Amino acid sequence: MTLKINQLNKTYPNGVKAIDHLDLEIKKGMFGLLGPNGAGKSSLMRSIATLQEPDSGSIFFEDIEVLQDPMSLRKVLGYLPQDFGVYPNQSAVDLLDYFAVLKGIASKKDRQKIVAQVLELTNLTEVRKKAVSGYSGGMKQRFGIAQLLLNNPKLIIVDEPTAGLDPAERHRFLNVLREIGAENTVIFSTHIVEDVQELCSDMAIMNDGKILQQEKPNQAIQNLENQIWTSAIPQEDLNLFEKKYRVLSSSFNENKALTIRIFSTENPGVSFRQTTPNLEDVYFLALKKDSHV
Amino acid sequence: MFKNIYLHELKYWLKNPIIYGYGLAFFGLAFLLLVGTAGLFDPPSSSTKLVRIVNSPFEINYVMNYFNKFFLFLLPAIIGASIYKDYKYRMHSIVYTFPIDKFSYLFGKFFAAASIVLLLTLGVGLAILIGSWMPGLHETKIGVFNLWGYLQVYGLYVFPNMLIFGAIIFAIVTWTRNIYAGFISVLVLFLLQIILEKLLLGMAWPEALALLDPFGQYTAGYETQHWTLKEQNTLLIPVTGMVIGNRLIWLAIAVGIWTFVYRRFSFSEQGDVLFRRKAKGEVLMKKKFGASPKIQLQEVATTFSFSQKCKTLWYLSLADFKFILRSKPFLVLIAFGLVAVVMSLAQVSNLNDMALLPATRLMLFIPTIFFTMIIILVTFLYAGMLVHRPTTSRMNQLIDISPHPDWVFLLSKVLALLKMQILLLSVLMFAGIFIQVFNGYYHFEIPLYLFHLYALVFPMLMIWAFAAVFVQTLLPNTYVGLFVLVLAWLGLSGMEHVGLDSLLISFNKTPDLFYSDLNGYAQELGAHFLAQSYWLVFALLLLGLTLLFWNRGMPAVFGQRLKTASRRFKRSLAYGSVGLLLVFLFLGTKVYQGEQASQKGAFLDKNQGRLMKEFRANYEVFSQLPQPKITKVNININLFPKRHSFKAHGTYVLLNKTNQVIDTLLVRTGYDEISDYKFSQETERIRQDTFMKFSVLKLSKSLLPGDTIRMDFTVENTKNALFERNSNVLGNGTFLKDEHFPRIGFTYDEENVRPNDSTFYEHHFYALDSDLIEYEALVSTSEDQIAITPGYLQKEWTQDGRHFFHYKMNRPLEYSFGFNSGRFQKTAEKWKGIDLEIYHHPSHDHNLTAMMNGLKAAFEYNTQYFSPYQHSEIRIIEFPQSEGTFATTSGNSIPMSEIRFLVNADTATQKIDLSFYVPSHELTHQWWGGQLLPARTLGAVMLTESITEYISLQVYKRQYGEKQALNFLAHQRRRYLEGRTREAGVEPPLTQAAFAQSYISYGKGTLAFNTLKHYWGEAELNAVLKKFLEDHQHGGAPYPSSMHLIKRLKTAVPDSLQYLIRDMFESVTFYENEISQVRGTKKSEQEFELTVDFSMRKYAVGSEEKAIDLPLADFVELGIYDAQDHLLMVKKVKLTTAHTSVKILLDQAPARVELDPNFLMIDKDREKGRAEVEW
Repeated sequence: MTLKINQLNKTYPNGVKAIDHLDLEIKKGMFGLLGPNGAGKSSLMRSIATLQEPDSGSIFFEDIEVLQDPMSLRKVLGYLPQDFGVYPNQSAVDLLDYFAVLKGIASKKDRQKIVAQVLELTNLTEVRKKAVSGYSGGMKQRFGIAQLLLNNPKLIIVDEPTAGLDPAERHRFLNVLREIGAENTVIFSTHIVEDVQELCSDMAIMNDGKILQQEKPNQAIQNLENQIWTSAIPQEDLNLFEKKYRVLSSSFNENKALTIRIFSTENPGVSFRQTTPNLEDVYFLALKKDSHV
Repeated sequence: MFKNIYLHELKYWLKNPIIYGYGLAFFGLAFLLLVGTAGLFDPPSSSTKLVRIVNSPFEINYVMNYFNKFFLFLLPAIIGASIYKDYKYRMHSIVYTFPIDKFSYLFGKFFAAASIVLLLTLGVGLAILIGSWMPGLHETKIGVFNLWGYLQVYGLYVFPNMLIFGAIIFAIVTWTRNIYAGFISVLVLFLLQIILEKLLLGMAWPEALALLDPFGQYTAGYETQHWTLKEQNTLLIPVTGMVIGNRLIWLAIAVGIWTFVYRRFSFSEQGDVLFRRKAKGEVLMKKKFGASPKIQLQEVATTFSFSQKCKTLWYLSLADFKFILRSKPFLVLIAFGLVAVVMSLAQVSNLNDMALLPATRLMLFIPTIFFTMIIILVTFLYAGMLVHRPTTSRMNQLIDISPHPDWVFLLSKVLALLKMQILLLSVLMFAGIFIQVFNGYYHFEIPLYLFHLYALVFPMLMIWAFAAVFVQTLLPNTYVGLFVLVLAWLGLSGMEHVGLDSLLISFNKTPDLFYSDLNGYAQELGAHFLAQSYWLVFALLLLGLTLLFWNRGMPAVFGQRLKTASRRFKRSLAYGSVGLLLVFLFLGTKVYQGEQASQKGAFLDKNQGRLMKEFRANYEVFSQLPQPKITKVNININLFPKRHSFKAHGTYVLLNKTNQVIDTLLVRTGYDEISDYKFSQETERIRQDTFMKFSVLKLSKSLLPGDTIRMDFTVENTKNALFERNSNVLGNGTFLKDEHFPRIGFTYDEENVRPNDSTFYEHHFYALDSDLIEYEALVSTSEDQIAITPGYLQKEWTQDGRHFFHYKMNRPLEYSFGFNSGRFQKTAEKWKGIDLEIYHHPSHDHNLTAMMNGLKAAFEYNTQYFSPYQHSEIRIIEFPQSEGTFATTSGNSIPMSEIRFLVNADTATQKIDLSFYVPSHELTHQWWGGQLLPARTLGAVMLTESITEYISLQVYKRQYGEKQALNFLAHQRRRYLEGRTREAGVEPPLTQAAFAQSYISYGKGTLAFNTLKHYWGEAELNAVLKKFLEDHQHGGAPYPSSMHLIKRLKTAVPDSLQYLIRDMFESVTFYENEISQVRGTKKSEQEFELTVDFSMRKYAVGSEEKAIDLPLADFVELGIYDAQDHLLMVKKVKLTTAHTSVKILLDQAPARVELDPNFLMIDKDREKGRAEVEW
């Protein structure tokens, strides 16, 4: 259950290069695709999900050559787009039955069974007869998960599913995702670092259509051990520090001073103290490196 | 702020290229329509007759009314879209938080978009303006430039319509936040107009229709209804209180709707709901769930076999179909459509003067044509909605990644559309059956309904469905697609105007079909199916193309879609398309061959004028040559119903009745037939015109006065072509006329001879080459049919699968005979020893009694007042409606159209019972046209049609009473006044009416004779007619003209009534009567005094520009009615001055007064002659 992407390219008619000679290999388990807005995550996801044809390159899932034979991939694919709607005034049960037919489940009995199960799993059973178009954001995202589970997919792609969810809903959503992630290949794109930290066994950081770094989250954090330093500085000095050090992030503390985190292989000086690296540091460092190139 | 929004919106639209497309399309179509109508594509015309001027104010209004329907689609597409785009791109959630005031936002958007629409409508006016200055047009069709004509049409109709309905549609889109509701509203408006029309005209209330018509179309029509062609060509459409009233009513409605929406509009994220169904305000799902439940999803089987894909296709189409059915706009539309269809169905069987049985074929034709137009528009709309539905609801990505091929999705949409069409056709069928039941008509022809709707109409709709899905797939959104489709439709309907009428290029067009109970769809069905298959295959090719361009995944630019398409074109799709293309080409070849075979006829149609002119120039020299007359006709004819062919041979005996020696014969044979002939002596053909089939023959031996010569001839029809039947022989119900047989002499239109030209009294009206003939015929037809021709049946037998009939006429008759053949049922009765027979379709038995009564009543009247009947038998023979709706008389036969057998006897008595009236009219022709033959001059129809129609009226009155007779007269008055509006020349008086001017001979003629009878007396008038008939009865030349009768009437009629002969017979005279006041005074319980003040004007119109006022010494009647509309009395007054005041004493309370209650005067506006009593 490995997804292999080789030398993928996609340039939009307006000249934007969304995917740039991208290589990636994703194995079974939860895979986090981390990147800022506009990094090309959605383009990559859509290319894998057969919604968009790349200009060149290849995508393999197991022995399916996705670009040549999209239909075979679709049979094992579950996809939750970044932004989706549903036919108005239709209940979850009806819509799920509709999707189940689309996914090739011929028997009505089978459909009823699986629909009931995915509703249960996503905890939508109680509201199954309500119109999905009236659902709240979190419920709608869970409905999105419900529909992608219908055909027992081997490859699941979820594109920025937690954007806009309140913390409680986000938590519930990730729980559901974790549940299904164990047995399949799940690609999960997000710009929220915690999502990856909480969920993923593997991850990649993407920007400008390229993969900047691919590593297991724990490993990536470990790699930064002893190289992350923090200090509180006056706000107006930030520029100065940014010139001198690799500033990864900055945040105001309660004294209206800035707490900055920098990357440095050696001790940068007295005002800094060493701190435990986290995934955010990995992410920002990767982006920093990219912009220096 | 208003200004900013207005300008911003205006700029938005001006930057949108589609706007220029719309403008160009309107301009181009109107331009082509104009130059086409003005004759750019026709050969030059030499006709001096008055024709319609294409740029007269009347015509501009007419063209604008046509385009109005298409302009209306601009309203949702531009005015509606101007607000809808904010919802569509979900701009409203941002825009509405800006500090914009509601007034500026709504009005700014509305007026900006409305400005664009108004600009676009100008394209049509501009096209007329520029087009009328094009070189190469027929000069007679172009009038002087009249700026007021343009200003008026735009100022009164086009702009107000756009603003009024633009406002309504803007309001609807704003309120529903749904642009499709706007489109549906346009369709609903069309339907509303039809409903109003059917309802109000059905109630005979045209004033109300003129006032309420949404688009003011009938308002202008009402104000110009009595306009003659000359007036249509020159006058401006009047601006009356009715016009202003109509505009104000609709303006008020628009303002009302605007106000409602404006008040309720708020800058809110959620739209307004009128009937908010408050669900119990439960909060959806905030229950906590900590650890998610551990559920192992069970394995489910997935199948992707072909059959499973088909099942999925069906499932998806059902879901889309349900979506259509559940959408509220659709339901509203169908509700209106149903009302409109029921109304028009009811109307078909209940016209102004006729009441027909709601036979299935009547239910199927006109209403079906109208309703299918609605279905086509709905198809255009829903094709777009279904194609774009996943994208609009943003569910497309979820659907697109499902493992089903594109064709499943495409075909599911198409299938859903087809289901919708089938449903709507079924609705039409049930509406038809409902009307039939409602009218107590239980002869449902379910197979006919099913065949017509599903085998003939449905494939046509299917082709539109394919085309609509194609266009909607290519274009990015529904309303652009809809508009493109509507424009294409409009363009197609205009193709004929520019001379492109081949079926090969007329998309989805098939030859016209007629249905008859006798003859079914006739053999035209084959041609229909060929043309339909041709376009169906084309549509399937389009469907293949649609598949190539089917949207899957992310939206792509056109170039990319083209690349995708070319990649998709492989394997089965490629093979399929090539196969279909071959079938398409094959069918196209067949259509082409069929059309080529009928090209001859089409060529002749276009060049007839020129060829006729050439012929005249070459052959007119022969027109005065003395010719022998036919005295004996013997025909042997074989009819072949299955092959639609006939073959005849016959013999004429020609007699030189002149006192000159004849050495040259002029012979004309049937235009389209293969004819051959020879004479009993050697002849030499010295000249021949192959187009007119005219020959000049030199006799080897001169024909002395009193000598005879025999002519033997054979005639058969030319071979039938696919799109052209070359004989009138039908599968069942043949009515073959005598026009196919050879005739003698130069028989071309000297009909325009004045009635006092005595040189033409030598020939009677019906034939130049014969007085009366001896007639005998042997007719054969297929074994199961009965063949009939004038005369008495001598012998009947079957031989070799053919049915033979030998007929012989026992007394001479005029040269007029036809051949009928069909599977008839015979119904017979006797009247005073005379056999009355009706040969009819077995199920057409509703009107037989009324027909028999009509015959009997006419016998009674004519034998009482005039003379005995000349035959011992009369028979009515039915022929299919496809051959015409007329009836005629020849010998002892009355061939009568099928439609006269479908009169609804129950309601007919309140209108005109045509099943009674037509036989009585035709039978009366045995006297007036049979016993009396008029001379071949203008006004001959006064002696035949006018007298016959006058007698029919008296017969009708005897049978149905005074009130129905007045209905009949009112109908004749209308016929006259409507007929004269289409007169291309100068309207002649009754005494000079030509054959084609039936509005004079029938309409005015009835009024003229009836008025004379009314003031003079029935016995007195009939006595003059009787003497006139006796003096000319069955005689040979000289024949009488209208002048002869006028002379006699003038001698007999008292001096006080002489003016009637002058006004009604010898000139074109009208009255203008007006009651100015009616005052009532109650003297006691039984004594009421009325004072009626009224004025009268009498004027004659002729070839001069101005009418001439005539002095008065005329009778007029005043009808006085009580509150229950019972006639209390009729007061006859003689007038000599224009203004008169009359005092009348009554013993009952009067309520209203009507001038001329008996329709004795011709007054165009009878409304002014009616008044309520003021106390």
